[in-house]
Amino acid sequence: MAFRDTPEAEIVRRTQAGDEAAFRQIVERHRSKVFSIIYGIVRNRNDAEDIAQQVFAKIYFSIKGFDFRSSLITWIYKIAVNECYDYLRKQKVRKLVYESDLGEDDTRTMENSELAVEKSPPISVQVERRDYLMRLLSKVSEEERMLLIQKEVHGLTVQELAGMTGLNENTIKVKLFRARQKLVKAASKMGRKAVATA
Amino acid sequence: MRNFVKDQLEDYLSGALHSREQAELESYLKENPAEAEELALFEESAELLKDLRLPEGEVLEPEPAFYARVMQRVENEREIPFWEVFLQPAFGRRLAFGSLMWLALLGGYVLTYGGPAADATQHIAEKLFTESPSEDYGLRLSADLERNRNDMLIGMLSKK
Repeated sequence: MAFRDTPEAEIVRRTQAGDEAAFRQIVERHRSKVFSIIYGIVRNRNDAEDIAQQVFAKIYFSIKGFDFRSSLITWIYKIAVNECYDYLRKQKVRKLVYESDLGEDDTRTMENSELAVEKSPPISVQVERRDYLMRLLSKVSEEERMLLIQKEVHGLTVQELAGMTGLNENTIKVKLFRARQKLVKAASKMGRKAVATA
Repeated sequence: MRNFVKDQLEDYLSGALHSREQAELESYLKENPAEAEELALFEESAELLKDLRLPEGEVLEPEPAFYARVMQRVENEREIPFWEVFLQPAFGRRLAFGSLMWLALLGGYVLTYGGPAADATQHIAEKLFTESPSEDYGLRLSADLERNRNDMLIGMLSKK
């Protein structure tokens, strides 16, 4: 069944017509998934909350342009992941600005401090790793990205993905296979070492 | 990669293959090292993606009243058409205030410079009508403009 024939498509049409109750349904239905995918990337509750609000505000303003060619969740994921890209870009700039303000001694002191020897990797490393992962994910299409995230991050099965997207299981498998190939290819272009250390 | 591997790939990566299928796949990979290597790369990238998974027991809900905050943000970001600026009460207040300021400025100017200027004009007019005209022409101006003009012409001609 194509997405435009689903009950959710009807909610989208009502939202496009200006029905705020329908928009509320969209928010309530997808807020957890959106929040968890954002939190999975940024790992900061306040930032995730802020980005999730921004994602739904964007959905509110741009839903009239939604053309039903993909499912709503695919479209929402695209917006959410793009917002995360922006966030990571800003984090990277902030980190660079912060580091440029530190002298060599300050940096050495920080590296040797108790915080630096904790078991979890430093924030900068985590940001770096997520940034690398996001760059890898940018090499696949929006649909492939959504499928990979749903499968690997949220642990959905191929059957569940088929049910969610309206595609058959074989199509899902083929799409995931192509997406994985693209990821591997992108990783080898960026340097295999990065995959191992990331 | 063979179709049979492709078909089982997702279950293999999720660890959901039955033991018999798992054994079949492993024996196939032993005989096909190139495919085994490719599969290892797939596993590596899948592990990388799992980095985005949340720790066990992590709560995945945004704070309560999330929808209200989204709508608050929507209101803050809603674009106002440029012509609506003219309909805003604030604009009316600013317009009224600006007009009053101009009136006050003009009033102040008139009060400051208007009196003496009017006096000066009156003084010139009185001087024209009462004082003796230039000795050159021997004229005396009156309120009759026609007569003044004629007297002036005669004076000028006679002077020539």
